[in-house]
Amino acid sequence: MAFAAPLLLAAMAAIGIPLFLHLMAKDVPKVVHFPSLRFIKKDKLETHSKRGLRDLLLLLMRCLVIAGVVFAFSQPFIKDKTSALNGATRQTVVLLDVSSSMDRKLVLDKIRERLEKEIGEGESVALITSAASRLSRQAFDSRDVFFTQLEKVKFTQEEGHHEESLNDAASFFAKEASAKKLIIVSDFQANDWNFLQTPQVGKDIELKFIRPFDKEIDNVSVLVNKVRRLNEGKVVQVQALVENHTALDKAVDVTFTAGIKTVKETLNLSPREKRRVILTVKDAGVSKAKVFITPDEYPADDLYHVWIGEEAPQVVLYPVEKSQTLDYLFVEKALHVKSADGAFRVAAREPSNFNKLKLEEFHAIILSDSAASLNEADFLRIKSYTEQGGLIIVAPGEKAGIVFSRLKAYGIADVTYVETIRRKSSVDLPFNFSKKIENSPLLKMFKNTPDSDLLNFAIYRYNAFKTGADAKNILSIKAGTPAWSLIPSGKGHVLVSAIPFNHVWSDFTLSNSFLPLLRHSIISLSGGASKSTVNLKVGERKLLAGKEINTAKPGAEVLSEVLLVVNVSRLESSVDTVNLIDFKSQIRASRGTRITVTDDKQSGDEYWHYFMLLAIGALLLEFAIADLFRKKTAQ
Amino acid sequence: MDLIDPKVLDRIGSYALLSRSVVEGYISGLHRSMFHGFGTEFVQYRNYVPGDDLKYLDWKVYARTKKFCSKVFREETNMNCRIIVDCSTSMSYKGNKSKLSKLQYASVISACLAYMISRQGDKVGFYAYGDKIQCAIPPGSRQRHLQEIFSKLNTLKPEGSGNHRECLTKISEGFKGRGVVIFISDMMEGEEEIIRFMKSARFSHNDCILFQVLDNDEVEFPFDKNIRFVGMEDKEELITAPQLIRENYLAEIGAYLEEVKMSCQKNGIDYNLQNTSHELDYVLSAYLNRRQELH
Repeated sequence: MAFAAPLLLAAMAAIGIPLFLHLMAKDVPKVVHFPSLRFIKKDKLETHSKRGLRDLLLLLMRCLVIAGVVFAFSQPFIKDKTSALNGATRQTVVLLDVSSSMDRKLVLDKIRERLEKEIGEGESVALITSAASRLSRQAFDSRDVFFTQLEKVKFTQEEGHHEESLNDAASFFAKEASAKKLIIVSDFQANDWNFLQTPQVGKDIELKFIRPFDKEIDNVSVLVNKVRRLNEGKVVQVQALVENHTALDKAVDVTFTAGIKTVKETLNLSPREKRRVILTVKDAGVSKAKVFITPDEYPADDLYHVWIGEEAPQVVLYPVEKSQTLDYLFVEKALHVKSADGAFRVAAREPSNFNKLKLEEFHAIILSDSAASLNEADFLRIKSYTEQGGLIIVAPGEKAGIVFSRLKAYGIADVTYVETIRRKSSVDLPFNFSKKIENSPLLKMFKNTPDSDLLNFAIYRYNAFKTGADAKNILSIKAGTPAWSLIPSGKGHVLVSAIPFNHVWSDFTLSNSFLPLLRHSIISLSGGASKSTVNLKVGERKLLAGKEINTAKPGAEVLSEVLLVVNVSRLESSVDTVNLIDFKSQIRASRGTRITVTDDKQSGDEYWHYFMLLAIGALLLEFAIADLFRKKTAQ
Repeated sequence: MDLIDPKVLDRIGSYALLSRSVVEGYISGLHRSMFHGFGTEFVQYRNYVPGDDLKYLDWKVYARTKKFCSKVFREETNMNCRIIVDCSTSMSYKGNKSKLSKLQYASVISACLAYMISRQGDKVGFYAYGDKIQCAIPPGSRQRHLQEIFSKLNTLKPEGSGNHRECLTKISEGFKGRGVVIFISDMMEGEEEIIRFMKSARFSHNDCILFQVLDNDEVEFPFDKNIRFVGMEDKEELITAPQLIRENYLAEIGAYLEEVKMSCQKNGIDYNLQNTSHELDYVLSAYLNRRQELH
């Protein structure tokens, strides 16, 4: 056994303190000639021998406490017998990153090829494997044994964090070695090597960084946006989004296989470029298809994004009571229509169950008259939802006064109900939309549509309301009377309609404009489709729509018969790798040194915690002994 | 040793020692005699009977009631007071907090009482014993008699474990007539013999007073650290940590003292516990005050 801090053993002299106190306290009893001993009951006496035993036990425990603490602080360890580094003149430590991002085909061959050039004959070599923490540490007498062992290395599915391992590697060299070399083998993802406290590697250690494969190859991803079966299924067409996450120009082969047929297209992507590509296979006659980009190069820690349908659906929450289903029917019908601009799913929920819903899972919330049944807590949650970027579409009818006042009261939208205007008789002309804002993003779709009936349908009743200064009136019924108003609320929006979504108040829901206006409003304001996707790590298995998603082999699978689209993207690739020049200078110049190679500390299993436990145990035992004797004497 | 502390005498000088019961005496004094008829203290009236001395007829009563009544007086006598001191070895104990040993303390009490009794004109006798009788001075009232008692008090030595039975038997043989018996002891040994002796004296119509003299160490047991206790009379030895047995000791001695006190009350003995760490003048004056209130 050796000690990392042997000087601290001098503190063992502190054992003399309890010993001295014991000897000093071991007093010769004072003699007192007392008139009569008849009142001193002999059976209650603490005998001299009993006291002696107690004192000895207490002394022993106190000495053990001190010895345990001193030993613990001296950091005892038993030298690692497997270490061959002691005494060797040339020493090399290889720190191998075995995190999931390193798990690639033939990577060990590439590592071996590079290391053979770095490790000479006669050198002693140590291998430290590291993923989320240090996994193993072995020292070898010869390079041949080292390479034999290297072939047995298994990569993990863990993310990498190599601070501990780097510390360990830096302290693994023997002090007397004449030449020291530390080789770090990794893909050097920035996240893995970003330390809170950078260890210091002494200047007498030669540093080598080995990246066993090119940096750029894993930084392109593919997302399948759309799958179409044309000509009665004989033609399969996919639309994919290919993205270059790197800062370099990339040439990418995108391959689409459907049955036995394969289509390949080479894309030259500029740095950070996203490009859509449409690939078509004719006469496929199969129900399975796959899109991939050199799939063997996908690292194991990539993420899949999975959703059902050709398009990731946007989920709209519609709080509705059973008795008020007219508005809901129009909304559901409008959103369930299949069209090219997106997929929707309407989730109808009772207002009484509103508090159980996770609002962040919804792309938009539509509030009708049923919203008047929501309570204060529900409106506060709606406020939080809009502040975080959510979209609320407000289209109440009879209960507009209640709904608007609550929106204002809870700070969701600055909107004030004025009155409900009705057409007085059948002779009166019905109201209609009279103005639109041409540059509104919502109305872009109507710009070049001459046959739009947006301004032509009749409105029989509407709720007049006023908005604050920050509101943008997209449509008006007449001057100063907004019909559709967009009010910003936190990071999100509140879209207020003067007419509810039913045919009683207006012909709006029957018009050609209702459907595109509602759908486009949600698409453009709800913040994307990512909420309806499921993220899966490569290798992870999950059942979706009754089918198991196979993510064992990277690639984008298209199972069109169940409208299930599995996409793979490379989220981590957007994270840069470390700049090795900076990294090197950082660990050379670090002042946050915890361990330096000039320390005399040897490698091996540490035992300080056993001694600390011994000290604590002895302390507790001392209390117990003292208490036991005290109780026995008191009886 | 200066047996009579002037400070002590200053405090008790104004008190007369009054016997609680009637004592015999030859000389009229402050103490009530068992004989009625002569003396100066009026007791009662009784009907005149022929033969009564006419000088005791109360003519003022006759003038008011036309009846002859004779005045009855109680004679006042002096008394024999015997002071007995236990000189067993345990009486030599002197604790750290005390200025005097128990024997010295008993001697001072004896001297004070002897002086006071003698000054009243009463007779005082003094007895001391350990294994054997060290001193036996029968009651007397002369000044030289008092000096002899003081002289003997200076020569008292603690010895033996107290041969109570034999010594007290011999002492009681010299007792004649009624009086006051004052016993001073620590009662650590032979308490049964002492109580029996006092009971016998009480039976002989003596007024009995018992001073139990204890050191503060015996009452409070204030020892700490390890102590080897050696019995002063039986030489028995014990090693112990006093702080661990204090509670038990105090309970034991408390029960014993209560037992002695109850035994004294039962037998009509005036019991008084004295702690040698307390000021003597305060103790004596407090005691005599109490005695005076009884009369």
